Amino acid sequence: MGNIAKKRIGEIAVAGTNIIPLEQTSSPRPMVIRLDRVSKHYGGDTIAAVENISFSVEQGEILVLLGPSGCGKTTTLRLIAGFEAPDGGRIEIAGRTVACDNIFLPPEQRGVGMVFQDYALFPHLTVQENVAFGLRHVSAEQQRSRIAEALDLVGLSTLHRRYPYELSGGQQQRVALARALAPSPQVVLLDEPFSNLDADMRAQIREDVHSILHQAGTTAIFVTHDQEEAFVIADRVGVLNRGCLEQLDHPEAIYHTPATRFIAGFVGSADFVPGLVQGERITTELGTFPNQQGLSVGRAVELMIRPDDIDLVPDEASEATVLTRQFRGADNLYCVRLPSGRKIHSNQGSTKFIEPGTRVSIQANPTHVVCFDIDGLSQ
Amino acid sequence: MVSGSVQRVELVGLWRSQIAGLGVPAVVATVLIILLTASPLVNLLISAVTGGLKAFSIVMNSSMLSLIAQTLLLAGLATLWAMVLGLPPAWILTRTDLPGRRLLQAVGVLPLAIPPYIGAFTYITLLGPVGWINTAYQTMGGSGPIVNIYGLWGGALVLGLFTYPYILLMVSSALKGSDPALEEAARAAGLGPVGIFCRVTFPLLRPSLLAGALLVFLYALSDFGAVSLLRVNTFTTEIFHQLNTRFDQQNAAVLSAILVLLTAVVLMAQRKSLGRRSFVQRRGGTRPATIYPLGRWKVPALCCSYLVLGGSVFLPVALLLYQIGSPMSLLHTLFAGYHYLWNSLWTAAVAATAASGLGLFAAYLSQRRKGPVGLLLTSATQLGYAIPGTVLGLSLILLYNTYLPWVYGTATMVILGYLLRFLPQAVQGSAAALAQVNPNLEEAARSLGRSTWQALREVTVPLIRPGVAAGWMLVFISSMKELAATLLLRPAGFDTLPVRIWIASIEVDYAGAAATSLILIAITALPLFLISRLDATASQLN
Repeated sequence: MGNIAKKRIGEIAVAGTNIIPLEQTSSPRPMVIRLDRVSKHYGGDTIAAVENISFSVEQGEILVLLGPSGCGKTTTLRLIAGFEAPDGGRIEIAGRTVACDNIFLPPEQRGVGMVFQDYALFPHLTVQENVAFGLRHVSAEQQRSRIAEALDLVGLSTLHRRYPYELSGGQQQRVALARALAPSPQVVLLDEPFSNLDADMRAQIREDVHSILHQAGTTAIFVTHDQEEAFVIADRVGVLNRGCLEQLDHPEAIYHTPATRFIAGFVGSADFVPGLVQGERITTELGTFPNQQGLSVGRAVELMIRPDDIDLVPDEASEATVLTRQFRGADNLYCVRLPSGRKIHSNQGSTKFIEPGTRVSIQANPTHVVCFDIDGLSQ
Repeated sequence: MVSGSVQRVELVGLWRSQIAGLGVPAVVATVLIILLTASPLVNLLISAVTGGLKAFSIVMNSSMLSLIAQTLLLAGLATLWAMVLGLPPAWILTRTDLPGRRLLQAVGVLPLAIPPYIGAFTYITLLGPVGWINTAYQTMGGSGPIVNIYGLWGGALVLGLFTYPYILLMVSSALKGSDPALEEAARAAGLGPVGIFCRVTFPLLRPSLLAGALLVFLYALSDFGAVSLLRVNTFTTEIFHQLNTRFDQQNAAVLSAILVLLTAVVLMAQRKSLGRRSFVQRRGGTRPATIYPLGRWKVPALCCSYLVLGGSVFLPVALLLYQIGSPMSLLHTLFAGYHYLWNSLWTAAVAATAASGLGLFAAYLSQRRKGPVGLLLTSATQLGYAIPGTVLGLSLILLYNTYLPWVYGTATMVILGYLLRFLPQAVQGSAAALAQVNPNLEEAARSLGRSTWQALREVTVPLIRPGVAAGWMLVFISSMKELAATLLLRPAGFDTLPVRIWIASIEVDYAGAAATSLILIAITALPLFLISRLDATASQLN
């Protein structure tokens, strides 16, 4: 287990045609956050909360850490904020080492803004006083203008005298953001910031927060378990699983060319069909696909097939049968049984109806051929 | 790379964050608190055991067995009586359309504001050998007393009358919190109102009823004031007798050890019953429980509620007012006895302040930094619950007389007694307030540039202030009312209000006892009112 985990770090990669080591993605913009092989175990636990994580975040970039609950994403955030001390590795903020073997800077000296899942607004202070809380070392004049600026940015200038309990969830959320931004931190960390909002408000507030962060030019790290949220907000997404960073890339690459089988299944839905490499082609029961990566002949692999990549055509001669249809408004999700008994899913348009029991022929048109070895690594 | 001095500074940061900003002082304070709270009891048990053969012969004494029987019988009878008094109003006030039930709910807990020794005193003036009833009977030509409050039955009567609110409160809250869907399901299954009560409502109430009954039982075991005034011979009065008239500390220590053992057994039963109570407390949504129309039962239900309240609130207060005679005599008592009042006030205030400080520290440590030390600390501060006032007084005397004789015989002993006995209330006040404060708030403050201590001072302290203040007032009220520990621990001539009431009752100075009682009730009622106000503020903030 540990060995595989360590091997993966070197292989964080865009699957498919080009494999780029992390260090080469450097750009003219300076790095604000750098984590170097950071690990954290909780007392007595043999399984690490975070294992050998390395990544960097550029100035002004929005990074989203995505993963199921318990994957270590919140722990990573708390390590950066200074609420936890790492067991190993190094954390740098704006070129300054804040945590390594014999250095530990407490949270108050790190210059990091934090937005909590439950906002953690001080209930005994007004909106204005909450925002002013982090502005101790500036003149009264400056303080006033910074508060006005921050509240203006989040669009709450008229509510500055209210107490938190007099605000709606979305307003509290924005006060929390204004409070974190007011001291102009090096980086803002947001821990599942939208999970306490109603579903109908979430999309709007997500967009607002996104544009506020871009407007302020702030570097930000989000944590979420919601892939849609991650894709909308992120410049880059890091997917965590069992304390390991499995892939760090642009949202499109995460979806279309997942690095591991876990990511393929976690981000969007996918079916996996076994295939055999035969020279230039990979043969499966859905047909043959190009061997884009030049895998060696005779290897047994699993091909990732997204429901969007499957087209269904009624065909009496076919041996595949439609099992169920789920009407989901914007589309229909079909489950089809292949001749081998394997089930595969297909997304069809909202108006395309095929009765369950109908025999269909299957056309698979994946834009990227992604296949995995038996151990789940992308090939 | 990193210069030496910077590295050292940052290492200090690591050290501070690891023990969470509470380093050596915290450890020292923890050890001191545990020593302070645990040593008297440990010393008491040691001195009881070191008696060896003598202790054994005391235990095997036949009068000891009858003492145990008498004490348990009193506590059992008082508990039964409190159940009879508390259970019907609990149901009537929460689940029927009784007119004025909100007011009655508020008034129903008032007996807790009247210390049982004052209750005992008022009932002696009514039912004592020379009380009103007997005097009236004799003037009508009867011979001899027809009622006598003194003894076991009178003791149980008075204790039940002034402790039934424990059962009323426990059962009412369970009734309010129970899921109405359960009773609806029973109705759908074809049960009538009586069947529903017997087969659904009551079984669900049993844990709360048991919890309330155990509270009453515990109180009856520990009471000294009412029991001594009503001349019932129990452990507490026997310990007092051994200590104050026979000066036999060894005997008193053995008796105390047995009483502590009895109390510990009841406490363990209580812990178990509270643990099981959780399944009742699950609320069924926001729907209120079904309210039953009383119909022709309205008048009997009203009579029942008012009879209970009449016996435990209206009658005693009316008797007190009558005994005083005129407002002038109240003022006279106030002026003549202002130093009793002053003694009560300042010892209670000092004890409440000390208890709040220690309680806040203990609650914070055990809540925010979970671990064996926190657990040990909370258990140590809870010891006061297990120790009746008489036993606590004796154990403090034994300890300080031996090891710190210069403290013995000063008012410090009285304050120590209050502190140890009521520290659990302060810990609970602080713990409840701290539980309301989201720990993220402290982290938010840290990410906004505050150190551990600054975050504590600027965020946590303002938020828990109402809860801590409520804890302070609870300790203050309890200390103001404490009789047994004060009687044993006070320096010669150091009288407090409860001591005055007790002595005046024994000396048949009924007017003086009544006036002092009214002053005590008035003073303790004011903080109770303030606590309810603080609760309102706290719930608004959180």
